[in-house]
Amino acid sequence: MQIVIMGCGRVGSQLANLLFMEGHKVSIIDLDIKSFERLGKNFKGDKIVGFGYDREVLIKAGIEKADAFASVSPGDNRNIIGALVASREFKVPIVVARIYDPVRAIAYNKLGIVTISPTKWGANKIKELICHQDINTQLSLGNGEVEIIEVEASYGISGYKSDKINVPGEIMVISITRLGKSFIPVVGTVINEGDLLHIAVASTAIPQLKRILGF
Amino acid sequence: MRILIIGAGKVGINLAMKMAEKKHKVSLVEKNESICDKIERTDNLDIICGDGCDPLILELAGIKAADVVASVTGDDEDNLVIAQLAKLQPNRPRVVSIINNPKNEWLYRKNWGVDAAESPASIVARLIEEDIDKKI
Repeated sequence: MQIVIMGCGRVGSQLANLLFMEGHKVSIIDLDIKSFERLGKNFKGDKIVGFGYDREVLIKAGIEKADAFASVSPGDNRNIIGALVASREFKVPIVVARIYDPVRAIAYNKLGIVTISPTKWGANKIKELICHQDINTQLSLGNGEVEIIEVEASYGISGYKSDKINVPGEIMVISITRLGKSFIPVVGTVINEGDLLHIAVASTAIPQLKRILGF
Repeated sequence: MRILIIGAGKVGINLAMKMAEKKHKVSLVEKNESICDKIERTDNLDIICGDGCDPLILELAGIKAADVVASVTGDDEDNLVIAQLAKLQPNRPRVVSIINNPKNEWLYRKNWGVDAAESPASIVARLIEEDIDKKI
């Protein structure tokens, strides 16, 4: 893919390197030429000095042929305008904007831009590390509102039907791994001791799930 | 008319005073507290100290009842964000704006939520150019 990144800070430089190492064609824009030092020697993508939503700068960065655009500058408003320029004016199919303020992130989602709020995600993650050390999160969705956790069925819940654990809108057992083979449970599937369960859970329902699992 | 002005720079303050004098109901939003404190209080003028790019502040300032929103901050990205947020409101107020950097003029359009925009830098440059020509 051809990818344009606006902002070469900690996130921008790391993102650029990750994508470059996977073989993507990456160009990165920043106002300050010094910020490109963060990229290191191995990065061979394009580095463009300039304002992130300046038309000429974006064209120089290859936005007209880009498959994706990410705005990760320190300014929320700059990121949202950059993302809107990419999607609205240059029809870039995949556009992501980093927005620190979670309240604003919701408003901007309405404008059709995928936003990521590291503030909210980070707070959720830290809370989880403090309060739910015994829960093993495999995947955190959105900004951490839904998690997919892995848990080994203890003696206490063996014999339970998997749908007895489910709570509509909050908890759902999505997979059971038994003797190295995974399957999706149906109504009435009985859990055995030692089964590895994958459960989708709303982050607000983690305490409830822990009670059900007998933690 | 109910007019919501965001940004109490030279343009914002002048516009607010003029509109208040004409008996319009004006709300002026400014994020810098010391600037807020210095604004002369008059009839028909409400001052809201807060970030005009924050949807909650805009709501507090009465965006849902505004006939016109003037986004006249010194930052083009802020002006454009405010225009977008204004057009998300059910009342869809008319949005007028100033263009700070003439390079960004191409974004101040209807599909960006802006109904009308002026570029002080371009206007002044053109007028001064005319003055220079006169001397020749």
